[in-house]
Amino acid sequence: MKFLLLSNVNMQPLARLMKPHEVVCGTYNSLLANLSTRGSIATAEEVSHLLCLFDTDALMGDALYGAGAADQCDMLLTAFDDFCARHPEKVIITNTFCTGSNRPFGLADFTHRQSLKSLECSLNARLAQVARARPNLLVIDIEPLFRRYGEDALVSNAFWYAGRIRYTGRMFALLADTISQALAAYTHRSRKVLVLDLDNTLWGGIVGEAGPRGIELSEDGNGRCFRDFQRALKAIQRTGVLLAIASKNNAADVDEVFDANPMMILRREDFAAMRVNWQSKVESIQEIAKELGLGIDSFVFIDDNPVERGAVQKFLPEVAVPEFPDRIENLQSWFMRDIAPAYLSKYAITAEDASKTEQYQAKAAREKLAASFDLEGYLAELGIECNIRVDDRSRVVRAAQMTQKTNQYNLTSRRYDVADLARFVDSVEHAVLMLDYRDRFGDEGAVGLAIVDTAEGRIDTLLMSCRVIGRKVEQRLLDKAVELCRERGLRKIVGEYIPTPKNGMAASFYADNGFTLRQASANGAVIYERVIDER
Amino acid sequence: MNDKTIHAAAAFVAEMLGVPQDAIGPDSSMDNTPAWDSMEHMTMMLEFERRFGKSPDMDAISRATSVRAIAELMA
Repeated sequence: MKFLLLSNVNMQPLARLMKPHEVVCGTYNSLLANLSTRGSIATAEEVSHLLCLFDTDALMGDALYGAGAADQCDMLLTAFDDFCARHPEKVIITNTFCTGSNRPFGLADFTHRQSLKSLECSLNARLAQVARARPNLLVIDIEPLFRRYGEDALVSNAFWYAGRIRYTGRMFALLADTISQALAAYTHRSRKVLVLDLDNTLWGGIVGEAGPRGIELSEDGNGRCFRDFQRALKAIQRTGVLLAIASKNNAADVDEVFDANPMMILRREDFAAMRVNWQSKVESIQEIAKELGLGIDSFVFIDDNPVERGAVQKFLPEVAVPEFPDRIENLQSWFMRDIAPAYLSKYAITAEDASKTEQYQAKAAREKLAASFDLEGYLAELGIECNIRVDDRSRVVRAAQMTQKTNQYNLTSRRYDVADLARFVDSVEHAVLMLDYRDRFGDEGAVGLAIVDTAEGRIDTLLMSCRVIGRKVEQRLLDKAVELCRERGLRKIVGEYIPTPKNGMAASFYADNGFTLRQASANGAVIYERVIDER
Repeated sequence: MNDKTIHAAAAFVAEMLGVPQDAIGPDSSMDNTPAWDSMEHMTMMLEFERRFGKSPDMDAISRATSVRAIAELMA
């Protein structure tokens, strides 16, 4: 696994900042040639990632001065599209078109027909189009870096003319951080749950002292800082991050805030779990993890109190515990610029992400119901409806997400990226089965996935979201896999269980479903086999 | 310029080139140090700017190809 760094200018200083990745640099100004030449080093098998970081001003040529067309930019867009299509196994990382602040037509640039700004916008619109069609193209928007830190701090004329290096050391460092955050988001390694304190975090003051209507939460003054923070939290919640509360307070006071304070942006239903009590926050977080069925290594904890942060950091070191900003006026921007990108960012937002909180709340409601019924009665009461779709190309992003994120009910724990899934969907020798689930409490969306090698009759991957475990829907996925193999004329099907520290709950899946043990290896992996009866 | 600055410049160059500290002395330069090529030089100057908060101009970047010249920029 190697990264190849390509550019139209000198980007080599980035290579050493990309550790631990091994980065090789292409020759100077070889970006376009490497992408468009068959058999170039960019196509080598050991190159898993291409870092195609180009400088827009240099690529524009005379168009930067309002003369001529930006031909090289057009060529680059075509080259990206072709290369990504020819090499779905590689991840291509690039930046957006981002010109400097020079404007050849000065004040008139904005309305000019050949305005640089409008050229940049149309190039970016086309880049977005290519990225939507090619899931292996990962585009990083670099404009926010210039907005935040300023062109003078990030671009150096001295280095440009001394050695064709556009950026300062600061920009290279920022770029390296941004790329690793984007890669984490792309491979779904971002965290899932944000646990929040209440007093002096979601609102100003202490509700037990100031009262549910006396807390600072308003459209001006200090209260606006907290209200804007709540707006930011609501936005992040819509991307699929679960919000939870761990607060030391009287539950009745907090209930009254939710019921009676008109300035609250966040409502009760925006939280997937709440712990308002006098126990330690370490215990509260552990309980929330158990309730949601998620590992605490996917948690972030925000609290203004350094003692609480210290305790969580000490006893639950897997939880990310960022420092709280010194000034309350920076609360919203600190969260949006520093915390969300570092821990919670998504590369693609799916329909499932938008309704994630509801799904987890429905899960809690189902569990309440389960406590009062026997299993069969409970399952009947749920009114489960499943729909299995085979080789649906429009959902490869979600399918990849599932292979990356599912740890518990996952028979083989093989991790695949979007490009892998696209390959399985297109291959006649593989079938990708996706199970959608709904019941009377709500629509869970895609919760089960199987990847079946229909040439060999082998189940490569079978996994279920822990949200639906115990509802006997995993058998339906297996039945469908068997059916597909039967249609192909196969007489037996092979299943595999590879143990990990987390997937013990799935160990007996094949044995429970009529498979017989064929082979057990020393590392614990077990192969099972079942005869497919003719129908 | 004092010995301390020259020593600091030599240590910085050694660190950037990834060679042992004793491989770089006060008289080391791009001419007598194989690892110090033009590409390493640019990377070194970028890091110099970031770490020491000084912005050498285009000429200084091109000329600071010895430990003594880097020490001068530091002083």
